[in-house]
Amino acid sequence: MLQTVIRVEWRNLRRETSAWITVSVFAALVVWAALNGRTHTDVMTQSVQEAHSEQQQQMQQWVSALAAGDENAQDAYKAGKDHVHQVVALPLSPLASISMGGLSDTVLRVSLASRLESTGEAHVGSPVRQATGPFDVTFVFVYLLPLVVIGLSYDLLSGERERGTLALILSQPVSLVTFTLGKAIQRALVLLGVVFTLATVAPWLAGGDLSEPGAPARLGLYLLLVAAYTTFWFAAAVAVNAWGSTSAGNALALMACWLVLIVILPGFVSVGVDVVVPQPSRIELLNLAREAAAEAEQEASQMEGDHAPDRETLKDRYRATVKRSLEVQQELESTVKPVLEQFQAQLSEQQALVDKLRFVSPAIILYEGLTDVAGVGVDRRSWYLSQVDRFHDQWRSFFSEKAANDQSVTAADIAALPRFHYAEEPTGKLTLRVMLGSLGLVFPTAVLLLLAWRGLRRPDAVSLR
Amino acid sequence: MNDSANNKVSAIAAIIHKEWREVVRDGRFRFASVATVLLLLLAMTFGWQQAERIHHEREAAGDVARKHWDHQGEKNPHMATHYGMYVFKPTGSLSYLDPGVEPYLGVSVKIEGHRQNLPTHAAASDSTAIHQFGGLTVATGLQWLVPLLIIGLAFGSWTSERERGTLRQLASSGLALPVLAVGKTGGLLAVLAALLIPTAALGGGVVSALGHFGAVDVGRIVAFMAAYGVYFLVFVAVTLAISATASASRVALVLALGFWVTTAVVAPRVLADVVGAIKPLPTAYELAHAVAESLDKGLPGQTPKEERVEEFSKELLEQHGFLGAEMMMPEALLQGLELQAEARFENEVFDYHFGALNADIGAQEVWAQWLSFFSPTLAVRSLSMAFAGTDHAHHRDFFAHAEQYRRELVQLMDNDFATNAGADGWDYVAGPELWAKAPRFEYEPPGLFWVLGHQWKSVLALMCWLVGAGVTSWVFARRMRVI
Repeated sequence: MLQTVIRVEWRNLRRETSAWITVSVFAALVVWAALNGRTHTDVMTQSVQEAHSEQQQQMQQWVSALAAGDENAQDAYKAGKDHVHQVVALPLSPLASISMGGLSDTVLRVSLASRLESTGEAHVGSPVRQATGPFDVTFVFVYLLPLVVIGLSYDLLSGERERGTLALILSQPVSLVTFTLGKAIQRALVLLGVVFTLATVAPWLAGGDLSEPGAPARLGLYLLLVAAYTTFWFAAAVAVNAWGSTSAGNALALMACWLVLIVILPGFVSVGVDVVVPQPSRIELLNLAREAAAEAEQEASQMEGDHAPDRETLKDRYRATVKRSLEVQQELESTVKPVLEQFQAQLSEQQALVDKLRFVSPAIILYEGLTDVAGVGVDRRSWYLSQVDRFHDQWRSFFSEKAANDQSVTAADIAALPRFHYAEEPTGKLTLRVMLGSLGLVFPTAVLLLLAWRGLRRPDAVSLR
Repeated sequence: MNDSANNKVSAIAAIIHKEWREVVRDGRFRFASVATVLLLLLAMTFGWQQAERIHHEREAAGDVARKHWDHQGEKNPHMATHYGMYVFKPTGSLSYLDPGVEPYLGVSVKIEGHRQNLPTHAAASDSTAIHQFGGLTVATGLQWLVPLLIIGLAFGSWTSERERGTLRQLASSGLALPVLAVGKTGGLLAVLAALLIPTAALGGGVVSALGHFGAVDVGRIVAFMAAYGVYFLVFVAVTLAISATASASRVALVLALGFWVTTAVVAPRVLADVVGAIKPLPTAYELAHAVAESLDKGLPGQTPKEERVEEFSKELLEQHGFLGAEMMMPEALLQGLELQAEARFENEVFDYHFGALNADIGAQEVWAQWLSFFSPTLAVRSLSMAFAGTDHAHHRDFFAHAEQYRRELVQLMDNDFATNAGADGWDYVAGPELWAKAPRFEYEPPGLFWVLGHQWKSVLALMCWLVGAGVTSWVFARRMRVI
């Protein structure tokens, strides 16, 4: 009987123009968001390429100067400070285009400068977009997909009641549970088909290389999240239909759910997290660091600001200045380090709380999950930054050790220059995080279906209350 | 007033009364109203708590930064410009209502010689993913929740009368539909006013009890409330127009929700992308690269750096009466003037590149304001941030003040070097007396008329929405089918 209901519902759905318009508009929005994501990733890629090409150019000039025996180029301190640097960037994941946040400050310039100075480029973002948020695939799925589900299912049962067809249908050998379930399954299958197609096509449209290692796993996790989220909203619609009365009442109740789960609860979590574990302040960090390193920084600025023309010609004095500069920088690093560590610890504590609180709303789970599979989540970023830190130490040691020992850099040293190789986060860690989040979608879906089942088995479920 | 007018007034009063009672008796709307009010009050309290924390944090940071400057010890004044000083953007006194783009923008600028630094340390750069998802603010509540409440209150205004058959009875009693329309609109507005005015008063009371930070700008508060008042009127008129023309209540609800989703949820993001496509901004890297290139070689297509610095040097030498007699100048004065010439060249480069960037951002904002003719939410969002002092125009104003301060500070230091170094040259050192001469950085946000001057297109867009929606609602009510 379930199959018959599904078949009949498919016939009904085919004739429902408004449903197809809704789905078509949704598809168009996904395509728009995907193309938008492509533009974003193209800009990111171009920006990284430009940075790399400038770095290469600078490197070539330096190499030529070394070959020509230029003393300035051979000076390890000047080379590390002014002539050569490394641009490091977090590689875009194959699904990067689905989420446009989080990568803007991951292109970093690594040089001899201390960690306090080399915190990356200041971000120039469009204030108009910042005010509204990006229109990416993540936004479309988190915010708009539930609205499509609501549009397709708010009158699943109430529509039949209001048209007077429900009593007629139930006079046939079909139970209310089977009938409702059949209708919901049919609509969910159609929408899931559309969503799966769009979700798969979107990264491809956005230029993601799905044949890259790790891409199939990311794609699988992404589809799993979207499917679980869609099913959750269908379960909510069935539950509201089972307990609700009129179509308008159902639509209002479902919109209230949308508002609570997608706007209000995430808003409260965001605010609540700040109240329980206040967001660490960069400003405070800045002052603490300056306070801690006051002496060293003053000395560093004095050296930098000394433009006396005869300073550099006095070799002994110059060498002493270089050595002192390196010592000052080292002092700066070691005094600032505990402050930075405390700052990071506070940030991690806040994220740990968010990880727990995400289960209060399916929208947070999907948002965090999608940013994670897109490779722009907090965990991948931390994973990358810890590698950059290690590389920064290697890079600085290479030049500062030579400078401290009065050694020149030679052409032979070029091959020994440290290189940054990003090691990708193990897929298992990502899978574990996403699967755990998915449980937060599956469990409430099961509860809602149980609630719906109880509602549909009420004696007065057929009548219009 | 004649009898006819009296009858109309009493009919309208009766309709308002009836609408009022209908809403007040409906448990769902009682619940929704209480929930909305509570959410707004909570958002206001949380927003105030956050804004106050940030305000004190920045004030304290400003004091500490100044202390660092004042106690930097004895050194050459030019070296002091390299040590520099951090200045911090004060929190807008209405930022607790709408934080706008504040979390995404830098709040501190390092004031130092040779370099115009972009504001850094944006709160969003150190936030967790949930912050990027969006927090609950008063502005979110006013832009999203209240319009939904209005839709919930008004979608059935005409359709339910028709479905119950009461519209036909009313029409047959001789009551003109326009009078009924005025009454229904009045009823809805009375409910909204009864809900939102006490909420605003209560919120104001709570904030006053908690204590103010910064100056209270009554003009901005009134303008903020007026913008939202007009925005709510737009939603009332649109929902009534939809209800007048829809065949059934469920259709009216779906259409009204569709309007809300399109204009409040989808359109602002889509239009922001359109603006980005029309007027793209350089990436941070491109900007940094262009500035570095110009500082190294000179502005693109203009006099090369060395010649330009030379031109500035000649100007300064002429001002000091030493042009052509450099050999007779004390060396320190010559070096001091050379530093000033270089600083002028650097200022020219910064003005060129940051001026272009700010012009592009300004153009984006102008486009966004024009595009708000497609979405009342976009218009009210622009106005809300502007009145709260948390939009990018305020940020640019702060940045310009910080740059002006930087130039004055650098000039003060380099002047002292040029004037007092004498034979000591680079070994000359100044002390706390000179550091104390540097004025304290003070920033006052611009006034209401400045805001209105920047936002007149958004005001116009919102007014057009009001007139358009009002006229449509009126026309639809007049032409509405009764049966």
